[in-house]
Amino acid sequence: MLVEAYQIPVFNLCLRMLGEPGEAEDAAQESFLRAYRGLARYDSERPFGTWLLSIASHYCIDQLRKRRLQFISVEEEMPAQMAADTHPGPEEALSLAQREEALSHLLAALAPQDRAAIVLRYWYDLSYAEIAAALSLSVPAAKSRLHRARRLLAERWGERQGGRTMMWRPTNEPSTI
Amino acid sequence: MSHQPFESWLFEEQALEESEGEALRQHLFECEACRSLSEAWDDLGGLLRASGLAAPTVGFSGRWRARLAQDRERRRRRQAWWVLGLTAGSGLAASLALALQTAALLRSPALLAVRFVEGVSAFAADVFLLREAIASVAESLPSFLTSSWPLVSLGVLVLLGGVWAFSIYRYAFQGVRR
Repeated sequence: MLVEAYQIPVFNLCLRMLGEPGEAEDAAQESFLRAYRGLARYDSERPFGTWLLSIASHYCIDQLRKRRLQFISVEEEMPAQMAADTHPGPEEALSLAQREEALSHLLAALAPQDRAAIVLRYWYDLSYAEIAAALSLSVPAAKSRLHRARRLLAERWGERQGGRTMMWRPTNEPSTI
Repeated sequence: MSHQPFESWLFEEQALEESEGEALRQHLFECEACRSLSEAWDDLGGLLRASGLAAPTVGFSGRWRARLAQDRERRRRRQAWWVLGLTAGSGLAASLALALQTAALLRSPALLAVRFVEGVSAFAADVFLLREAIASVAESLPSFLTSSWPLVSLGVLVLLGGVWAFSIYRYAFQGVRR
């Protein structure tokens, strides 16, 4: 069943966009409903997963716009179950939770469409053209949003680290340019 | 100090020419702001790429099926109300128009009588014309069909009535598929 096959990517997108597991579940369910109702409009030449992610992105962007004026607290957010790490040890789990929390805070600082562009790029490895199609943007607009989002994220990350040695680095290699 | 195009190069994720790479390294050596951004982005880029996909809690697809059933029921109800409301509204409008016309006629009995006679005459003329038309069609039909004409007419009427009733039922109660 399609829901079984795509539940993780769609839920993950909603979680990264909305930042709260309950809302993410609701948004993922609604996205599947919308996809189910709109199956007749699906263009079979387009990858199904990308189409589904596009529906979920638009729904989440709408949700974020609706709550734009509301105060959003991410302090009590729980990291969602990670699909890749089913049995992390205590230290690994703590590190994972810290990373997830840090990412959640950073993503929350971005505008809805910029956030969607970043999530589609880094969690789903979509190309600029695919991101543009998913978000109903032109390719230059998608590139511009990604550029702006990366810059803002880097600034925030730098401020967060406060000039200290970076808490987490994926490899021991020096920074590459 | 100008930070362009170095700042753009930092965030575009494009492969740089050798000369561009050298210029960028030189700029980063001299510019602390860009160096901080570069280090932060290197660090964060790794974090983003290494972050896994979050999974929903167990039973997601079951909850979705339940939600789909609820959604269908809600849409079915809404469609039923729409069809029934439209039918009732049309009936009410027709009744109102008839009532207004009847009320106007009732104020003048003479006019009512004249309209009644006119109506009966028009109806009789229509029936006569219809009968003529049917008769001319019936002449061209085989004899076994003309002898059973009343039964055929009745059958057609029953069939049309059935189709109408089924359509109302279908649109009111069974129209929702997704």
